[in-house]
Amino acid sequence: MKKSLLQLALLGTLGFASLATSAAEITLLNVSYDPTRELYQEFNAAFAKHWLAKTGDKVTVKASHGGSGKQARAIIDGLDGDVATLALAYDVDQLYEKGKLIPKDWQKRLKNNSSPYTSTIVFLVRKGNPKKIKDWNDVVKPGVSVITPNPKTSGGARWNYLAAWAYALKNNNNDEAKAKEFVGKLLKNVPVLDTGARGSTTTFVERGIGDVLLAWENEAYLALKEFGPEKFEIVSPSLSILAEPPVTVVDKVVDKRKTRAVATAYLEYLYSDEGQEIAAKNFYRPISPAVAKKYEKSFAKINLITIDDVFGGWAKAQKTHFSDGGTFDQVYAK
Amino acid sequence: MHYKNKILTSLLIASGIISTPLSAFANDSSELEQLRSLVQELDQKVRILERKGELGEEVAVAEKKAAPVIKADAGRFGLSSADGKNTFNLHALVQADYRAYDNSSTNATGSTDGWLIRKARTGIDGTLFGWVNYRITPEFAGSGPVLMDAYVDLNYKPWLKLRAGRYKPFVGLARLQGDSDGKFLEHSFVTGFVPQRDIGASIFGDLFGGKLSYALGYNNGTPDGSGTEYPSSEPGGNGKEVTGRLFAQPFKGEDHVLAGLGFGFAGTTITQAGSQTSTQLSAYKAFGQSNFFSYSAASAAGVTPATTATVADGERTRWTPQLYYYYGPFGLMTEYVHETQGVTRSTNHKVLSNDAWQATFSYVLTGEDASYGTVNPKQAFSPNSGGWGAWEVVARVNGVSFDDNAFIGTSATRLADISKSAKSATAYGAGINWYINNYTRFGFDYEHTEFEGGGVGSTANAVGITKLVNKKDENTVIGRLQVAF
Repeated sequence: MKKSLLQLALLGTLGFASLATSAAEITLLNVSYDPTRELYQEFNAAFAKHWLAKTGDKVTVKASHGGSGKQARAIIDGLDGDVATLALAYDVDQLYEKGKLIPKDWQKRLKNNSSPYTSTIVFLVRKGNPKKIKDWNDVVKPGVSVITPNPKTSGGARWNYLAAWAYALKNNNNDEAKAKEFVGKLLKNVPVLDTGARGSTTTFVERGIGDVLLAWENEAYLALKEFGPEKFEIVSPSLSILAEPPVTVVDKVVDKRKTRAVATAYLEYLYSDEGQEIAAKNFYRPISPAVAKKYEKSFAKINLITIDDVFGGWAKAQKTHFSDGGTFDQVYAK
Repeated sequence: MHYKNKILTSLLIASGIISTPLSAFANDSSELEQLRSLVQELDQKVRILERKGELGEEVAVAEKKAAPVIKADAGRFGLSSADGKNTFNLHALVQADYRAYDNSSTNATGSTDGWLIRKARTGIDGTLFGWVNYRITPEFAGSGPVLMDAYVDLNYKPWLKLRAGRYKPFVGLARLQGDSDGKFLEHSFVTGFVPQRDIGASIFGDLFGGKLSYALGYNNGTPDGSGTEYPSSEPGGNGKEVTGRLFAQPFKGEDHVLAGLGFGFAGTTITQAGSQTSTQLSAYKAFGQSNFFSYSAASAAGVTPATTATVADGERTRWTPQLYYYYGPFGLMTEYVHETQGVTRSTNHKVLSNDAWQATFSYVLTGEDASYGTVNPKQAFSPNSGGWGAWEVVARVNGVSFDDNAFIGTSATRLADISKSAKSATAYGAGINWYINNYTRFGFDYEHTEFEGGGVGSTANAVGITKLVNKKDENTVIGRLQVAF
């Protein structure tokens, strides 16, 4: 009798243990900005494979894309994104400021201020560069049609705007008024304001509107790859801005969905050799020196200013230029 | 897009804008260049206009997704936020009855045939933030406006919810049905013993995907079948009524012959202390809504010797096992209630044991599925399109039995008068329901009730019942037109 009970207990324990160790199926939602579709499509598949091999668990990563500012608001309004991979730190900051969804010091949790790759702003022009656009001062000339998204909703547009502003400051002895006038001229040349960078690419590439697209470097290369050098050319301006798109786990969501471990591993994998390779292949500048060296010919050497050096950080830049009544509102309303 | 541009160019050429200069200045390359620029400029303008149109449509679609939703289709009136997390709905319930009684004997009910507005309710309910529900329902039929429901639900999790306010306590199976969903037009004897509405709070929820439901309540407490609660400020130091219910639907959601089976058990307990001005005891009604059992009232002013009324005094407990089963068009609902009620009249204190039971059968002739809720006709009745709605036949048998001790005593101490109150009753009913559409129903019921005792000539003394004369059978017909949404 005792033996039978012991056997029963052992069988029960084994059964429970087998249940406890059975593979889990996990889903993650990555809320990202507009032009990262191709990057994360490839990366998500690579991470799922990596995670399955490492833990035996099947992870499916879904992605949501849109203008960076819009995406941040969507998370604050309740979109259950396990991770946010947005265009700029200010938008991620809003997850703390407006929703207390992440800690204030979120940027310290991962290397390189939580930016696993960088990028910059370049010009995409039509084959032969018919308007002879070489630098920012060509973009503001009358008759040049410029495509850029709306800085109120698009992170890429804010990088575009600040890069132009920085160029004007540099060439006008840091005269803010002249910089404002310069950016005002640029915006007068914009016939259509899309809500996101991908929308602007559609406007320029597919709808055939405009002479120049102010674009994320990766987006410009992607257009070149898809449509061929017989249709478009990339022009690197003399000065541009170092864009550092940051990533974070959304703490409130991962704690609710119990996905913190896999979400954290997902972001950390962006820093791995494979993650960095995928970023480079998708025309994001890798931060790994080894991978950067390998792909150095893929990226033009551009004089890159930083948001901190020229604008005093994102919080100040946002308030000065993109908040209600900021310089964008002033010059665009004219 | 390229095709459109070609069309544009062709149109320009065809209209002569291009062809005329070309013919006149064919050799003037600068003019040609100007025209080319003009076409390109126009082409860009057209493209920009088209793109702006696309973006405008995208904005319109996004705004539509975010815009509040107004529901105004048949039977549904309300507002909802785009995400559905905030809602506001209007409801109404109107029951217009015609009632006919068999009054052929001096011992009959004495009720008068005629029309009656049985229920006239309008109300609102809704949701806030996706997890806070609310409901307010006033009743305008009867003696005047009465607040029926006014409660808030906090739906923290499916397995943990809190309801507070005035609501149906989680006790009686038929009572918990929607007020417009009952198979018969009036409740059975069982529902006369369980609380109708009460003020208090309950935690409740569903476990195992709804296969097991629980509820635990703490309410002011109401007499049998009543919605008049007695708050703690009432003289007499009343306690609060604790209610509990467990209900299982073990095959719910499965493709199983027992998928429509539900059974459970509910109970209540309270310690009461009624007074001469508030006895906290109820009268009990038969199908025709005439009283067939009442506790003794106080003698009228000036009558000698003066006697007092029977009042609730001590513990009252109710136990009610309950079951329903629905399979295709067939439905069965049955429940039983056993009550012990402490009562006192003058020097006579007793704990009475009363019981009631009922079984209701239904069958939807037109093939729709029977359910605990309403029947939704496959085809609404329409004189034009030929639909006939859903037709259902129903039958019910129910009974009630009161404790003999209720009738024993002197004229000053007897708890209930056996010459006016029946010792037991059994009723047999049949009816038909015509579900004209999802919100409109016509019902026609007949119920025959037989009483034991309660007739003039029945007698009892201080030690027992000495003679029983049965109250005349009650035969009642009710027809009802109902709108509920």
